[in-house]
Amino acid sequence: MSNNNGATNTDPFSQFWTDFFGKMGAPPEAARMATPSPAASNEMIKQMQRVFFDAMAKYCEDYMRSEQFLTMMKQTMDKSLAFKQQLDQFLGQAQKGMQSPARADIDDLAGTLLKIEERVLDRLDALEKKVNGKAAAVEVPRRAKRDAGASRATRPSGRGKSAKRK
Amino acid sequence: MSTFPQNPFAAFQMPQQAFIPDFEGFRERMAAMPKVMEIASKVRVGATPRDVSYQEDKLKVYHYQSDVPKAHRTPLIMVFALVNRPYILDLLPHKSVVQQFLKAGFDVFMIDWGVPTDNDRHLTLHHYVERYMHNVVNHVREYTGEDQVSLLGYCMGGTMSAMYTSLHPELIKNFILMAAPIDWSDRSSLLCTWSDEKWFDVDKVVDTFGNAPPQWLQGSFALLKPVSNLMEKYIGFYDKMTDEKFLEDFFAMETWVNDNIPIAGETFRQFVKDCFQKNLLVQGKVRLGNKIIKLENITCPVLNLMASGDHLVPCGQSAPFNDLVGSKDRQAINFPAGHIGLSVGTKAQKELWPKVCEWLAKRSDPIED
Repeated sequence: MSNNNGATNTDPFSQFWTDFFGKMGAPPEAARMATPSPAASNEMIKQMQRVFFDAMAKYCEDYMRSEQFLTMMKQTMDKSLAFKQQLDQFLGQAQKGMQSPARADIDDLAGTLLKIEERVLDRLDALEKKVNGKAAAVEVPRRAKRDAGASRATRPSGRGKSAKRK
Repeated sequence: MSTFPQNPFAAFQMPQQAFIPDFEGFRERMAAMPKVMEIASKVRVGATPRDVSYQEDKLKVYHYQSDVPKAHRTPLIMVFALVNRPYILDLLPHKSVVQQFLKAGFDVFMIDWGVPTDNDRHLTLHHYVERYMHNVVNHVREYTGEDQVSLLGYCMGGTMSAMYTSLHPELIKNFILMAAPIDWSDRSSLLCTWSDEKWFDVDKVVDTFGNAPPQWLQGSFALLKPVSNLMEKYIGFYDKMTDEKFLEDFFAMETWVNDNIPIAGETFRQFVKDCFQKNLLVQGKVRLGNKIIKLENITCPVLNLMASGDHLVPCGQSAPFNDLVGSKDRQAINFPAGHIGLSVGTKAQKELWPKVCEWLAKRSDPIED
């Protein structure tokens, strides 16, 4: 990460360290008093703490966005995944050797069941739509007939919208 | 040298007592340890009484109870992310979004997706949105006798709710998006950097682990703010460990933070690829089953809640939502809080949620006597 491009482009840790002490070099007003009270000294410590954490947080954030960190993250992950894959393969083979089902077999089975379930549900949806369509087609002439009959009969005034809530 | 501190020794011009260890304070804190242990062991999350009104596979729908008479007919369904547990919206009585809505006279339901096991690795976003969410919405409609519901989606739950609303706009009366990512062209979040195709092979992770492991997710979230999560938090805890009220809040929050769950593998794969890596949602190219998500199909009133200090979902990922929907009634609130502070923060509880309740009340059907 370090390079020779001058003072503005120093390595991140040096930058953090310089920033931190730079900000610490400017204590609050209370610290300049001749005889600071305990409250003032507490305030100073809090400020030091704040400055340290802010500088540290900025340093961490910059570092975790750096190519160096991202490359390291990728390499670590690739290695741990490769190890896990090898371990799974070995355990799977051992289980196969013992004629017992491995996790991969159960995963496959779960996946197959899910696909079957999906197909059945899709089919049911399609059937439901068809039935609803047919029902609506039957209902329209029935309702028309009923409305025609109702308009002939004398009825009391209709009720308001019934409460649907339970 | 311009970068050298003007007065590097100023820091050491402090009174001597500043560096004397605070033995009295230490003694007080050690004396409080039994109380700390007691509070830690008694921590209870999920503040509001509730019934399970619907159950399907691992999913549960909670129906919250309240003595406050209902003032609005339109029920509200809260949809949380598939990461962590949904009780953050009802963490403690004084930090509960659920109670805010109950007090305002809403009928509140919440989806708990449950904890996926290895067998659920094949579940995709299509299953979660088009099957589970659709069944929940239909259940709530049937249960309450209402034709439409209001949706509140938090974080990834907001993204999923947006997908659902675009597919079934006729069923949604109002939509509240809460710290939810929609447009990943804003790459300022560290998560976006880490999940970039160049550095992160999601296929390899899902093919190897099945589901996205919870410990790995939790570690990643903690690393997003390492100083705050791994240092400041515990220093703050030491400072305030004699304050019982603080301890109750602290342990409730810690319980939630450490209660991570796996994400179903195929859902994780699709979400990372389509959203984080390819940003397909805003392009109208996300496919759920044989349907394509078009955000312009959303026509109901929309309230977009964003947190200005959100390190997980920067405002730039949520704000474009209001320009992408077809709604005429749309509002956005950018509140000074973090991703979690938006729900449990004291300021949010006092200032934000009453406003949100008011917004929703104006757009929900009232109960007529």
